[in-house]
Amino acid sequence: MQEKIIASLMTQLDLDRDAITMESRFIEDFSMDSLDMVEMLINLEKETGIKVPVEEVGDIHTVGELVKHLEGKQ
Amino acid sequence: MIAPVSITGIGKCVPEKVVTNDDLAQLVETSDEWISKRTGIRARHVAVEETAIELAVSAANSALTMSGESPADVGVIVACTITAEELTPSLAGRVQRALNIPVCAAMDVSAGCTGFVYALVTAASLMDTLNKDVAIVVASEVMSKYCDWTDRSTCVLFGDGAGAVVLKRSEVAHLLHPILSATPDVDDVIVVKKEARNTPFTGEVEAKRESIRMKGADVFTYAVGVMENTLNELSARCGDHPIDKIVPHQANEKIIDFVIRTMKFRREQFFVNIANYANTSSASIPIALCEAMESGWLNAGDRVAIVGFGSGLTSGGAVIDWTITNKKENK
Repeated sequence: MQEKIIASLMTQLDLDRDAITMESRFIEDFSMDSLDMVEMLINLEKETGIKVPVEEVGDIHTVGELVKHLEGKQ
Repeated sequence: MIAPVSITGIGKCVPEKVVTNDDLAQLVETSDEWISKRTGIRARHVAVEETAIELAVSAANSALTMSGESPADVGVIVACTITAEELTPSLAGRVQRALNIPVCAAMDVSAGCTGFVYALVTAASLMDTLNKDVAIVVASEVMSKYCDWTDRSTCVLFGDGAGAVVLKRSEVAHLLHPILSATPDVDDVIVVKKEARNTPFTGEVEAKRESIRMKGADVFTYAVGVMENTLNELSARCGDHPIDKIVPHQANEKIIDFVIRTMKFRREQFFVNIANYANTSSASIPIALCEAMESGWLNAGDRVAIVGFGSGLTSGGAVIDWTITNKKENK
């Protein structure tokens, strides 16, 4: 799951692998806005088959927190 | 059935006043960087004196002039708008009167930002049903009159303008593979109440009247889904003669970027002019088609797909084998 999320973010945000850690924050470190978050969730749904409504990620701020959230829905 | 037609004339008209993101930063808490990064929009035209009817008439007149048809030749007018000044008569009726078209079928369609695609297909269908040879399709919007100019999340997104085409019956069909669809909007994702309001450019702004309400995340999810589906279906229907270029509804550059990233099209295949016009609703596709041709990006012989989505929730697309030669470009 972790690698799928990282691969998805690399493509979406045009980032190198090294730029993404479990502590990376979506807003502060990647300058993502609400539509970027929606795009990320759509990409992850295509990749993993797990649907995450955007309202569920209100308290998710880091890559690590998202990994945990998605693993919990598997 | 739709009649075999080609587009023989195209025109656009936008209000004179240009409002930049910096101008908007004087009105609401925002900035050029914030707006352009999130939407791709840098400026928009805003009607001060102009009406939706006047913009429509001007665009339709330009298209008719280019086509070389006379007003008496026009058998069908289909207009689309969600912001025209009059509930009745129709915008099409007003265009008919202004252009001195003596007798024809004239009606409006309402399909939000997908309106032009619906109107185009409706006009070609009516040409077949009524056995007419020439039609005008015109889209005109003054979205600024329906913005809440105290709401920074929506007022920065929209602009005003009109675009029109003339359809002429042809031996070979150049308008192909129409797709029209709608999904029930159970969550009121995009709603515009029919109540015109002042703008900062026409009078005192009233803050609490009904205006455009939009759930951005839901719109984004819907938009990218239907754009992908429509383009996939159009591509499949085109078979061995693939789509060369795409003119999408200009709502938000992020939506277009997403589709480019996830589909097999290249960025240079998409015409994007949202930076200078913002979202002009149903007028965005014909304005973009017109500018694409005027700039030399769209040429005779190109197979171009148009794809739109909007309130309703509607979506639609079609393929056009472009036949107009850009005379300015060839001089």
